[in-house]
Amino acid sequence: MKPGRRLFELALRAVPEGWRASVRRDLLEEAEEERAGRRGTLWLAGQALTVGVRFRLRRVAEGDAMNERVGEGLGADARTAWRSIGRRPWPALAVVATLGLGIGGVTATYAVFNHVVFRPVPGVADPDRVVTLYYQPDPSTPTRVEASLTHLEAMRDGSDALDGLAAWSRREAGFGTDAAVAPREVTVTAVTQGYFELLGVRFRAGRAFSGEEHAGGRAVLVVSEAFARDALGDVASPVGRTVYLNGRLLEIVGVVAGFRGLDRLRRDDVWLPHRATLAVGADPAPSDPPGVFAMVGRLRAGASLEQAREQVRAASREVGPLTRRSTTFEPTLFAGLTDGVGVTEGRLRRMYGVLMAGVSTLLLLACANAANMMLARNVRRRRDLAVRAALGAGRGRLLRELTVESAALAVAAGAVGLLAGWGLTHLFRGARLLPYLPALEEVALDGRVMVFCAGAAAVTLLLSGVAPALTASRADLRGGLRDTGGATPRTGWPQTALVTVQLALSMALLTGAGLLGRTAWQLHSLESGMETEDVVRFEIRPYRVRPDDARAEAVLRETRERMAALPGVDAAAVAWDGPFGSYQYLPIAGPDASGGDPTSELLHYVTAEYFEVLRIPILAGRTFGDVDEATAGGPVRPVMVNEAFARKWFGTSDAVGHTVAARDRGGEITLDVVGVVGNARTRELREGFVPAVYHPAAGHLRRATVLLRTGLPPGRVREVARGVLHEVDPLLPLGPVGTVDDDIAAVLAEERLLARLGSAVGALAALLAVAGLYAVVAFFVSARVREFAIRMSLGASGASVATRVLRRVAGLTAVGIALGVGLVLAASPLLAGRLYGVGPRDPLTLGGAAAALTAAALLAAWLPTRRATRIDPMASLRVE
Amino acid sequence: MKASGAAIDFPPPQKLTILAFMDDTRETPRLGEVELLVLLAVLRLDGEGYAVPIRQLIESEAGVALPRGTIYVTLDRLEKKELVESWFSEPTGEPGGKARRLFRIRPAGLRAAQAARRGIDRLAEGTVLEGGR
Repeated sequence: MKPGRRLFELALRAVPEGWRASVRRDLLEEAEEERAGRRGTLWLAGQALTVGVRFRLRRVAEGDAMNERVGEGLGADARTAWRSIGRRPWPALAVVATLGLGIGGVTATYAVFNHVVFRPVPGVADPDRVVTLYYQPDPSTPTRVEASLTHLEAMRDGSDALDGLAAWSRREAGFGTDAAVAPREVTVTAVTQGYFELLGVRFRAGRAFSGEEHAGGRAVLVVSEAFARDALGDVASPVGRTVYLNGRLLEIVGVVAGFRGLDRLRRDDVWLPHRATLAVGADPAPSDPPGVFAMVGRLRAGASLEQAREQVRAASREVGPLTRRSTTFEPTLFAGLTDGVGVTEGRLRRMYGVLMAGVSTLLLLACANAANMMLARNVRRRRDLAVRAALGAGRGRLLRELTVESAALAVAAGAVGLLAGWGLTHLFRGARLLPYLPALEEVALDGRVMVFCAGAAAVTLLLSGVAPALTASRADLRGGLRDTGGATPRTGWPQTALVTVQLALSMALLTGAGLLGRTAWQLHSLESGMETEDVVRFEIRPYRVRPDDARAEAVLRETRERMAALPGVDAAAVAWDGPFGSYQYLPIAGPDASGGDPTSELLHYVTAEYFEVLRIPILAGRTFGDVDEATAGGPVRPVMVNEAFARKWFGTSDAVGHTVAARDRGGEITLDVVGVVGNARTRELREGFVPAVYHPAAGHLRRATVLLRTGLPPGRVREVARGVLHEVDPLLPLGPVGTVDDDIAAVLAEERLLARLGSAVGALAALLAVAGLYAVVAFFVSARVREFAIRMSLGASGASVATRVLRRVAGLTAVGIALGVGLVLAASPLLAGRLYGVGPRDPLTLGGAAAALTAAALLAAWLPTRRATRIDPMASLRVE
Repeated sequence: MKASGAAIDFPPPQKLTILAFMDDTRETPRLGEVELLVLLAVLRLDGEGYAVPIRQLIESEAGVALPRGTIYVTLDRLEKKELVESWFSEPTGEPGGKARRLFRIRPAGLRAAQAARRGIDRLAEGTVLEGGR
């Protein structure tokens, strides 16, 4: 069934069963016959829903109301509420739509972050007792080091507060089902004994690794259900099948059900026994047995985290202290599963904070609007309420009725919100929100999101419904009745205050959006120090396939030379990674090794062509030659440095011939500067130019990125690179291909996303505030028609009446903007960290936001004001 | 009604009109305005009536555009009051062509319509309305 038709059928459910078939046929007939042309399924669904709602409401015309009895209790209140909403449906619909969108916004935001940060990791049984362990100097310093397998085993066996402890680590490897086909790169997770068991992972087929496989480091695989389906074509039968990993034949022994590894962001698909990583050559720094880094355990029922902490610390000390560079690292236990290194999660949480603050403010604005509409509505109903009070309805009864009415609106708004949230998350489906996030594929409105949405609706109800109901139910009985003469209901201070708050909030949001937008622009237009246009890069990892150094070095050289020789390629370089990729540091001691604590400086392993490809100017000296490559592993290393480095360490930009002492993997080396290049931003855009050392790549590339200056598009480069790699070494997997400009865009993605979402939220907020302002001004004018008429009949001009209205609007706007500026100033420490090249109190942005808001406010006031000036005094007085 | 912001929701003035529709025959159910319109349309369509033509007829003859839902709900109510009766038509072969409800008036419905008509006639007696007929 088509989705539109399904919607129609869904809407028809609202119609009582005896009528459903009939209504369906009638509507279909009408949709076909209509003179205005055939009507769409949306019309059908809308009509079906309307009919259904009519059936539920059973209120046809005023005349039929006499057949209904006024009952008692909540049911009667609900009926009264429905009637009262039905009598003036448009304001009610506006309230529902406004609140619904607000709730939808927060729900969608929550749903997306619930998916990436908050939801429990799928496939892990009883996640409350799962703990994470890293070796850190102390719990608050997230510097982490590898420990030995012996440490892990001692802690596992020496702590009875833990039911199990296992380590896991990820590696990239070339995977293929056939030896003849070029392998594709997959992430392989190596796990120690007990990993699957302690997490309570269930198996769809086969089994976990046996103790023997763990101890002997036998290379066998466990794969995920999704991987079995997508890469192997079957869920059940892969068990027993053999596949190639880095060119070695391995057997699959199990398929896990639902489990995709321990973090929500990346998915694990292939698991391998810890010791087997060596056998498949999937280790960049081979050691036997391989060390352990991230560990996961399970607390025994009844044991406390504190007990477990004490026990693992004691057990680890018995094996021996873990000291690196005079810092002692201790096993540190955390409750729950924390993301791999805690960095991505931290960034996401901060993003979530900023976004949620924005969207919540939007909801708050929507609430203010709704409250305002409810207030206006209640003021109009004062007489009605007064009559009901006179007929004996107590204040409690009236309050209950009004609250039930608000509750009905809030429930409807919650439903609309859930729908809007669902729609919004669908917009995000398959989108890569941020470069370091995998595409969001299964953002679901699970129970947690539902609860969140219901909570938002409840808060909405409190904010928008109860306060107006309280003021309305206090309505002065006699005053209300005396109103019959047409005395003007006054716009009370609550309405004015609400509009002022709205203006203030939207002023703050607009300013925030403006600042974020300017930050993104500033970063975008920064001078990078290099020319990144037409630079394509791709990754190759020869070490994964051929662990012997000489061969890998040859593979890299051959790949570079062949790529450079291709038509359409101007230059080709090999480096550890491209700009804005991963980078390394080199501890620099100073002019000689006796200097105090070394300072770490940025280190790039590059071949000579790197500067040509990125067009980084050589300011002095020369680039690397073959001799430099040969001495790149010796005690005196020929290096190139950037200008910032030369100025910092030698006090001159012409540093050729200078030397400086450094430490490489523990050993003392001397850096001999052979060339100085211009400064380039290669790590972060936000920081200034930092000192950097360029070191010959030969012998240092455990990973390698080929950089090309070429007019060819990345897609074409992928094709030719695949061909070249296949000729160089058929087992070499080709990593992702992209442009350096894409990498820069990725660095800016967070800023751009924030700026874009910020402007959307800011614009919506301003729209809401202006709509609220319009409503209040319109109410103000319509309530004073008589007053204006009298003034004008006594000789006041239209202009003077307009001035009266506009003066009030201008006053409101000014106060709102002033409050908004206050808010911005108060929130400036929050924003400051996210800004670049613009201060949180930037007068230009503040002024722009204020001008935009004032213009919008005056526009909103214009229409009702025009009405005020066009009053025909006689006509309006005659009506009175 | 006054042109001030205080719209008067109570009491609905129509009630008085409707009371006038009541005939002295006790058992005749009283009709709302919409009910009367729908009942007359059912009568006019003579057994061929269902929601679509009923709505069109009311719009073309009485100049009142009623929402579709109102037609259904009113038909439902008239049937519960035993003023009209319905049966299901033969389903057609085409998609969506399932059985549809057709309506015809029952004697009680006819009586109610007549009573309403009499009420209007009596009220109009001696006014310009009568002359216009």
